[in-house]
Amino acid sequence: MINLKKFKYEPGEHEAETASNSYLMSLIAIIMGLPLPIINLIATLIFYLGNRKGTYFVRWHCTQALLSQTSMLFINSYGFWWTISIIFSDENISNNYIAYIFATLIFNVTEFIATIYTAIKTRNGIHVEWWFYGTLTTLICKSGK
Amino acid sequence: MEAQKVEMFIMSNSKFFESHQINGIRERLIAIDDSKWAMISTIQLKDPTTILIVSILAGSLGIDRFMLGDTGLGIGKLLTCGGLGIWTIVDWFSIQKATREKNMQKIQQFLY
Amino acid sequence: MVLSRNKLYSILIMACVAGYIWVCFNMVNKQSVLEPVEVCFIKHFTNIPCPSCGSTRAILSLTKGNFNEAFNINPMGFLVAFIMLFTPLWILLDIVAKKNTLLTFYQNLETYLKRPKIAIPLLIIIMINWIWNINKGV
Repeated sequence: MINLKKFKYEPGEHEAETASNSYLMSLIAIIMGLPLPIINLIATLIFYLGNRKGTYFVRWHCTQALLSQTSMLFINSYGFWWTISIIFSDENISNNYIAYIFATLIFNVTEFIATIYTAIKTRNGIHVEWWFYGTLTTLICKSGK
Repeated sequence: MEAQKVEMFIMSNSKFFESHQINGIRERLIAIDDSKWAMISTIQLKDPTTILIVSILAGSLGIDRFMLGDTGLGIGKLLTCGGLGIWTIVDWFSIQKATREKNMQKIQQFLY
Repeated sequence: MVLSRNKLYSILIMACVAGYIWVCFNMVNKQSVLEPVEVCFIKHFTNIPCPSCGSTRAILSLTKGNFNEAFNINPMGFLVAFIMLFTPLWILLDIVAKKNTLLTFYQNLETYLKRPKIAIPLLIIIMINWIWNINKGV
């Protein structure tokens, strides 16, 4: 699922710090904006936009963080509004709902752990590519220059 | 400029700049005239760690941005309770980089 | 940050769009399906309102035409509403006329505000407003 790969070049100390920060920030934003699933996406997006002119390593990891947050948004917001409708309207808790929330929980915990792991690894300058997201990021993020 | 002087400057000031820009600064410093040394050695550079502490404590008032000299962004942050709290979080993680880039701009005036 | 024309304008436009979305969200969210979302860290952690807490409510009462009420909630709401109303127009004018008057204005304003003569009185005004805010418990 998670591959450690050699990057094109050896990233510098501060590049590694910024790349790691992009993951760390998404974690903090999740915790701060806990009931609302969109806060961390907005925060990650702002961080990404701020680093659009950064070095390749930084941009790459910002993009990967952004992509993972985006995919989580769809899953989470559906679950969020389903919960809201159960609390505030007369909809009942069905088996489907429990299954969905359980699946969402597993997804989120996996993503959370993967993000922590990646944040630690990138801090040391190690390039971490996630399954599927890594390839997608390489396609989106051009090395440029 | 003398290599030894440059090396000393880099050593004592490397935390103020982005690591990937240090080599460029070193090369420029060696290339430029000795008469600029007095100016360069007296530049007031901002410490990223100090700004980070300010950002954590008073980030939602925009004080960190004011300290960096981005008055406009600071006012924006102040008027919106730190960008509805989101901008504050983002700045905790990006203010150090912003500080180093600000320092780079400052020294660049003298390097070219 | 060195702000180029396009960068400043896109930041401002994004900020304005976010502001409008926020105001609309608060208008719709009156009967509070969610708990009233609290975004201010200072208020969240210390229970003391920050200088600009209540701007949203001030803008909301401005949209209903209650100028006095808005002033009583937080005078900063007027400033925010003013900025939100006129920046998009100014940017539009600049884009149409292919000029950068707003950028020059912004840069001049930045250097102008850095002067102690201007900065200190403004700071005092903000402080007074803050004390007032704490007193009325916005």
